[in-house]
Amino acid sequence: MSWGFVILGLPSVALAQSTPIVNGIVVGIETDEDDQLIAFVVSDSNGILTTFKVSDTTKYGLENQAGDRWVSNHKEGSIEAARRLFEHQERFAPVTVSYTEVSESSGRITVIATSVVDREQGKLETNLGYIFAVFAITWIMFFAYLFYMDRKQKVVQYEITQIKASLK
Amino acid sequence: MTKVINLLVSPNTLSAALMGTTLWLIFVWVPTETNQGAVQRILYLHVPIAWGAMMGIVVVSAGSFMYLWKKNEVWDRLAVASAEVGVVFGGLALLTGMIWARPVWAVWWTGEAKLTTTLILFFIYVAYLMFRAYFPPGSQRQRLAAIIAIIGAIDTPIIYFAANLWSQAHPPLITGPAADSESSLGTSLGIVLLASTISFTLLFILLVKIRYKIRKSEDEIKQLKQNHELDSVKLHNISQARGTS
Repeated sequence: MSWGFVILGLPSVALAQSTPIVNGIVVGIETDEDDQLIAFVVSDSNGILTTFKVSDTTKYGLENQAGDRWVSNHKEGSIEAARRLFEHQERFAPVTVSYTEVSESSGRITVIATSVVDREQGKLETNLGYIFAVFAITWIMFFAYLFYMDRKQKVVQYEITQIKASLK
Repeated sequence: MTKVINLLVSPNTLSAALMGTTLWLIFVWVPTETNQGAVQRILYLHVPIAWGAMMGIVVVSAGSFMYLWKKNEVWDRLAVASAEVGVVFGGLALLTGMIWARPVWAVWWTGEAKLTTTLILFFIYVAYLMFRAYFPPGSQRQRLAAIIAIIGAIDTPIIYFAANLWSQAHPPLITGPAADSESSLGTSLGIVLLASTISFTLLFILLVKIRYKIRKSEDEIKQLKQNHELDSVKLHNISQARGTS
C-alpha cells in the first residue's frame, strides 16, 4: 500500500460533501478476544451516539498525544486501531468518521465506518445553546454576587445610622 | 467638568468599558475557530475566570502570610474579601468548564488532573470561608484560617502545570511562562484572550475592593458595639458601686 496515497486520501474522504460524516468523541470500543477492533461508539456534540462497525477497508489516520500520525487500514492494523481509538477516548480527542449505511437482509441498517481520522475541519456545529448558557450563568452569578454585596452594604449603612442615633 | 473626567477615568467605568470591548471582540471581531466552531468562544470566558480563581488563592495566601507576620487586620480583611470573590470565580470556572466539556468532550465531567485540582481549589475556598463562619471569633480563628489559606495555595502551581504533568483531556499550556514555545494561539485569538484576561482581572480587583470596604465597615461596627457595651457595663458598675456606698 502506498502511504502517500492514504495520507492524501484521508482528508478528502472526510471532507467530501457526498460522504456522510460524524464529528465527535469516542465513548465506547468493542474488541474481540485478540484485541482486534470490532466496533466503536462516537458521541457528537448533541450527545447523539452512533455505533460504527468496521470492515477490512476502513481507513485510519490517527495521531497520538505526541502528534505522531498513524495511517493504515483495518486489515493491516485492527489491533493498533483499537489501541489508538482507546487513547483518543482517554484524552477526549475528537475524531471525524465517514461512513456508509448498509441494509441487511433482516431490514436492520448497519453503519460501517469507511474512514476514521482526527477531527478535520468541516460540518462545524454552532452549539449556540452552550455559549448562551455559559455567558448567561457567568453574568447572573456576578450580578447575584453584586446584589449580595449591595444587601450587606445596606445592612452596614443601617447599623451605622443606628449607632449614630444611639450616640446622640 | 472635573467630576465628569473623574467618572470617566474611574476604575469602575474603565472596567465596564473594557468588559464591553471584550464582549465585542469575542462575539464580533475574533474569527470562528476551525476545529470546535463557535463553542470555542467559551475559552475567552473560561480561561480568564479560572485565572481569577487562581489569582484569588494567591491573594488569600499572601494576605494570610502577611497577617501572620504583621498581625495587622488589613491583611486578614484582604484575605477574606479575596476568598469570597475567589469562590465565585472558582465556582464559575468549574461551571463554564463543564458546559464547554459537554459539546467537545461529550461528557460533563471527567476525573482528569486539571478538573480535579480545580475542584480541590474550590473546596479549599469553601473550607476557608466555612471555618471563618463557624469557628468562634478571635485571633485564633484568624491565625488558623491563615494557615489553611497558605496550605491551600499549594494547589495553585499544581493546577497551572496539571496539563503538562498529566497529559489528559486539557491541552498543554499555550500561554504563560511554562507554555511550549512551539504551540501558541493565533494572533487574533491571543489578543482576545489577553483583553478578556485583563477585563476579568480588573473585575476581580474591583469586587475584592468593594468586599474589603464592606468588611472593614463590618469590623468597625463590631468594634464600636463592643466598646459601647463595655462602656455601658462600666457605667452600670460605677452606678452600682455608688449606690452601695
